[in-house]
Amino acid sequence: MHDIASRTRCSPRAGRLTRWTRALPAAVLLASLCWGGPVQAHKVQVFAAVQGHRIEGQAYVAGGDPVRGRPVSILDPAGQVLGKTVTDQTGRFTFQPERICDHTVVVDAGLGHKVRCTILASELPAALTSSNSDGGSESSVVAERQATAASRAPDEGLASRIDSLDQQVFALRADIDKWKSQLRAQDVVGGVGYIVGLTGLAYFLLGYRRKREPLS
Amino acid sequence: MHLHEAVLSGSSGGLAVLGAGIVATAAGTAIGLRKLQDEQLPRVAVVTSAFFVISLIHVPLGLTSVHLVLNGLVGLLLGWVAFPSLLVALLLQALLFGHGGLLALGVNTLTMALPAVLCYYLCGTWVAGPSPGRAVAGGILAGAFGVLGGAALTAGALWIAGEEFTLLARAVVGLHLVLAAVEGLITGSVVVFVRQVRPGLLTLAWQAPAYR
Repeated sequence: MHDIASRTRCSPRAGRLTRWTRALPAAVLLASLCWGGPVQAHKVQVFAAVQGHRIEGQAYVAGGDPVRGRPVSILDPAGQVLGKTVTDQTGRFTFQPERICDHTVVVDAGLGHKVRCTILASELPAALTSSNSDGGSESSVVAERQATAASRAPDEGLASRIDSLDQQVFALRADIDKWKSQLRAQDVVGGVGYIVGLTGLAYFLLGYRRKREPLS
Repeated sequence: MHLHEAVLSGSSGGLAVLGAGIVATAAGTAIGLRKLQDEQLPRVAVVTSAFFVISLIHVPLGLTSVHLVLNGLVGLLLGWVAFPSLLVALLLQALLFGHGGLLALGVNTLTMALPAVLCYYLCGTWVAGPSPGRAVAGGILAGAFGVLGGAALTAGALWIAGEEFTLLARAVVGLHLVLAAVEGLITGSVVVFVRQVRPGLLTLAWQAPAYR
């Protein structure tokens, strides 16, 4: 790309200057691309949500294959480990939260693939003890049991219906998350389009330079 | 094979890897752009597009999935221009699909493009040479070396960032030996095909005067 300027053997300093001014639009384009491009999908994905009184989640490779038998750690906002578990054959894992705070789920899929997903404190069931009480796990389990009993007491049928609704919503959220991470044809075609466009831009700049500095 | 920036930015060793990757990729890209001749631009675009698309096709293998890389072939066809070419392809993958992330772009380009350039210098003479047998051998070697070199550099980067090396080495060798064999065969057959259909594609890159 830069060889034209040196091939024409004009004054080298002027050549360098014009080279930079020619490169400016490309640099601006690239910079704006970097600035505006949303980075959402990762190759390994993890989805986690509150299901009943537990945090359930699934880790998978974009495209659908589950991440099996990989360590999962659950961290609080300060980065302290609240618990550890392992994904099963379908990439699923569960965790019993003991207090109300933001839970960050980190799945280490190996070979440098570490993905995370945060569950906000507001999503957790209110029956759990709040984050600043330092009551042990036993008291929280008791509180949770009481809450479960209380919710079951009025209407067993309603509770089971809510449970099944919970499950449906969970499945729906997992589906949406998977769909978001799926490779879409328009993105692939768009990427190829960018490459063609960059080549066109390079040729345009070359042609422009040739017009300004005709080959002797 | 993409390294994710979140993995590397956690430790000081990882940050050093990120920084070194950016510097080395900038240098390689500068060399590549100087070597790039304007009549080669369409070829570079085609090879870049092919690399961009093919590494999106994942093949499930064991616990994880692998994808074709074909950086050996990119190296044979483009030489030093592999740096700017792979940089563009990986930039688009980072922007559109979040592979690796922008911070890790430097180190990811380096791990792919450095073996590619080495393939060009190690196997280029055989591939563009008169002997068909050597050309196939050169193609197979380039395909395998591209993958294994990339995997070794990736494992090295992760090791500097503080991951367990034995675990990594086992995973890298286990997964990528298969991939290396596949890529060797693909690159070998592409070389045979290109030699018959358009021999200039291989020899031009090798024999063109490197004026700058």
